[in-house]
Amino acid sequence: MANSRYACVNAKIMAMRAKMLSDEDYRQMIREPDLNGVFNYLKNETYYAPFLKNVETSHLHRQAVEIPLNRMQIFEIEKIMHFLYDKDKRVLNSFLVKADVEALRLLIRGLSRGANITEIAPMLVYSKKYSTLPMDNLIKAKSWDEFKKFLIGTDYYRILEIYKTLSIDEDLFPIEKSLERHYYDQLRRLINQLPQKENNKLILTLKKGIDLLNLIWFYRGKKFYHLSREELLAYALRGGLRIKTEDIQQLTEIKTMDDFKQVIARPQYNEYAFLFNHTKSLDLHMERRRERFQYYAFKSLYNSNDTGLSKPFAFIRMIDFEIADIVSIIESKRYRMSATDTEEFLIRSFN
Amino acid sequence: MAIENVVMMNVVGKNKYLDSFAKDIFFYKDIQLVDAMDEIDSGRFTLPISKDNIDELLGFTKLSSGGEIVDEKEYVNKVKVLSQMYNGELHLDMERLSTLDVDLQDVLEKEQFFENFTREECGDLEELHQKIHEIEVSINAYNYLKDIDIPMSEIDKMNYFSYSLGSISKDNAARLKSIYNTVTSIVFHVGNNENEEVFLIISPTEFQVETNRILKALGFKTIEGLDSKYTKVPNDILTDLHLERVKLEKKINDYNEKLDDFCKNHKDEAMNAYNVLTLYANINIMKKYMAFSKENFYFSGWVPKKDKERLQTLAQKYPGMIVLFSENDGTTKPPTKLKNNWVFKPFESLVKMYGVPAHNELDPTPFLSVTYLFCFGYMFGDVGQGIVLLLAGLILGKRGIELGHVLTRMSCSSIIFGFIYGSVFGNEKILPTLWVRPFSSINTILLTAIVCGVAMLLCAYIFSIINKLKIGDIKEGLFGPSGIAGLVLYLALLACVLCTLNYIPGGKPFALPLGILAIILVFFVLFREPIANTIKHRDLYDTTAGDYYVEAGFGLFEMLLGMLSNTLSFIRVGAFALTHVGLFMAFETLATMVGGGFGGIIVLFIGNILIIVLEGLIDFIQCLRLQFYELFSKYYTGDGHEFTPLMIEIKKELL
Repeated sequence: MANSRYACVNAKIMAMRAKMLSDEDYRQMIREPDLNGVFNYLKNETYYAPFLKNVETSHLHRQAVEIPLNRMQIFEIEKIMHFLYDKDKRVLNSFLVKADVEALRLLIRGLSRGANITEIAPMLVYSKKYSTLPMDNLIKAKSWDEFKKFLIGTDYYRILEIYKTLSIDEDLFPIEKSLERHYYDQLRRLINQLPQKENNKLILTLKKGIDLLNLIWFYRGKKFYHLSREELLAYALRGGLRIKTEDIQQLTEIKTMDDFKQVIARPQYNEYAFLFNHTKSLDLHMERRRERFQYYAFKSLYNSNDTGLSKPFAFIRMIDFEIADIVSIIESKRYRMSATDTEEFLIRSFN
Repeated sequence: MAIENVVMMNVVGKNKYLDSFAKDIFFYKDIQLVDAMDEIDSGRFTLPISKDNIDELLGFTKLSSGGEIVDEKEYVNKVKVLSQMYNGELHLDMERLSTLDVDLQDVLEKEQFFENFTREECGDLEELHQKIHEIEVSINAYNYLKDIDIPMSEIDKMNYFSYSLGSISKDNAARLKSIYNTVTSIVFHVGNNENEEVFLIISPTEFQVETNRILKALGFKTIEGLDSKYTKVPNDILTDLHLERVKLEKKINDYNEKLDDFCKNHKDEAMNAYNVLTLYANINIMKKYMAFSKENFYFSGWVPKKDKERLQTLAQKYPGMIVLFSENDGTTKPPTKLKNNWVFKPFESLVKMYGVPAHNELDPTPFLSVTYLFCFGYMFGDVGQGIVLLLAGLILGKRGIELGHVLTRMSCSSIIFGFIYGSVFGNEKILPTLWVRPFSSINTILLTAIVCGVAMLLCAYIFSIINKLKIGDIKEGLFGPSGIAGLVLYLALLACVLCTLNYIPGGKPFALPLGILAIILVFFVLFREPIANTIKHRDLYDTTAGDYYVEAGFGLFEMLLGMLSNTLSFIRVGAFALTHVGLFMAFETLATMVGGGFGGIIVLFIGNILIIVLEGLIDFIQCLRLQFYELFSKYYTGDGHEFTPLMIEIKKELL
């Protein structure tokens, strides 16, 4: 039975979805000879046009295109939130919290390099309407202490106040991981508050997403960063579907990569085996594989008959994937990749 | 109506007279400051070119803005120091200030004397407060350890172990709990703190680095307040800390008493210093709006037109001072200075809720006041309930709430109508009626409300015509839906309806001509833009003809519908008069049902309270709705900005 609470937002989303890029659009952009060609295509043929009209074409680079696209996404999210109330609005707000976290990360990186972060301001993408960050003040901060002081009264102060210094080697990694963990802890709480019945598929998809992130974290933590068991645990995300607290403990106790693969081969992780099933280019494509899994999951969620927030949530995630693919195409021009190779790196597949 | 004309006053004077002139302006106070630099830059502040003005004219070329060179903070801070010493008891007294012999140096010394006293005699106060704060922090920390039965010195002495007390968010506490077994330290959960959980961590010094890394990863925030100088068992430490706090509080009390005595003995001097420093803070704020050349200052502000001569006389005291007044030339929008008598003044707040009248618009306050009072009284006519509202209004008004004054006037109207209806606390048996009892003459009450509504609407049409013609808007003033054409159309339609329904004896034959007149006027309204533009010898349409007729067509439909709905809307005034009585009758029936006597009195008492609060509020809102929607929409734009005299502006900055 249709849920009348979401009838309005779903109708709006269906209209917005119709404007999204088609396979032919991607193929056309891949065929373009250079970045300028991709940019002109986006500007003349797609719904991104209003956000690209002020981009200077003389020194075109990836960020010059990516930032307006992300701004468009924020604009679309705000538009969707306009049709929602109370809890539903808070759930969708999680996307804007993610944008806040990303903006904070950029500023903190800039500060750690000793850069003048006022210059970073034009690169920040966040919702002016919903952000809890005092951005006008933050970009004026001259020191780490001043930066933290501006955050007093926000959730982020508690996370950052324990870092007395901001060294690139010692502090940057834990700060970024703590911010990411804060976002996912919030998301988990919001997922738990959603009415289970009408959001069943959405909750499953989100929980699977957390599982995948955890698996990649353990794999990389062990293989590349050589992190201690306790650190792996400290930054592990909670609220996954199959990877519960005890599973997290077990996975972090594994000593070698072979053991890791053995554990992953257990039936309960069958669904996630695709992450590690490749002998060639395992590490290179791991992130792409995760995103492709999520892309199809959200696409199916969009078309599902879940009566809750599935459609709005899936639609916003689909814009995420769309922007990621456009950025990949832009990057492919920089490295002069062939059309076939470019398609390889895209989240969606055309087969 | 009551909008006072204001003019721009531009002054050029010698810098040596600056302070005295600013002081005069401060006492004059009915001026809205304008940044002189902006006026000069925009070419509105000009001087006649003559030999006498040569220095002043040359000064224009090298001007500095007062905002860049003057700072009032020094005086403002001193005023604040005095105000804080006296807990806000000191206040600005213009009368005292005008009689004072102002010697700034002397006042500054006096203020220094006050500051010195607090610094020298009570200098420890801040330190004592700081100590108390530290003790409270320590009490909070040792409270978590109060179950430990070992002296803290023993724990501090440990060679191979170190300890720390801190809090972790609930999410991360769950993560910490999952690694209790294997973490390189002993973890004790010792309590909760707001949204976090508090842990005591004891770890081997050898693994300190690892422990710190993990704790940091979990966002462990150290709880301050543990100190090696406290060596006893935590419970004893807590007792000592509480005792120490009591001792310090006593010391603070002693200092406060000393300070109170001092303040009491020097109140008069403090009052003088406060006033003079406030004056100088104000003078400096004024200077920020001025522009300065080497020899002259340039000053601008809006002043009431009637004060021109008074200000000119004031300036004559200062040799070489040039004062120029300029009327509004259309390049700026002068502020609106409302001027209403004490009866209507409180209603200005209701008008401002909608918008401040523009300077060239009629002030709707008097009309709003009269009609508002009429409507409210008509709806809520009761002597007893009116008196209760009057008392409430007086109390609120005394407390400085503007709406209280509105309430007192509304209640007076309610009392008058109470006598007309002969109603006291809903009871209609005590007083005789001077006109009708609403419930026994329902039709009279409803029809009278509509007739009064029509009269109000006609007044609104007239105001609208005056307002539009004042700004030279022929299109809307003569032919618009709220202009002369609209008014005649409304009257024609009204007369046509009355004649058709035989309300005017022998009027039936006039119905047809009136109807034809109405149709002709409808065409006037529809074609108002081309007609007005032809009169003004301009292009027929401001936009395209298509756009205009689509908009005007809908406008016409809205106008005709509006005429009907606005008129009938006033029926609510009569309807609420009936509701008022009806509601009381309901409570009267309830009182009879409980058997009268004491119970009945209680029911009537509660009923009256409900009627006063609930219906009073509804009637207040309904009246406001009639004003804003039915009347203001016809004749009032309210896009002006308010005249803010000097005192208000400066006070705002100071407080």
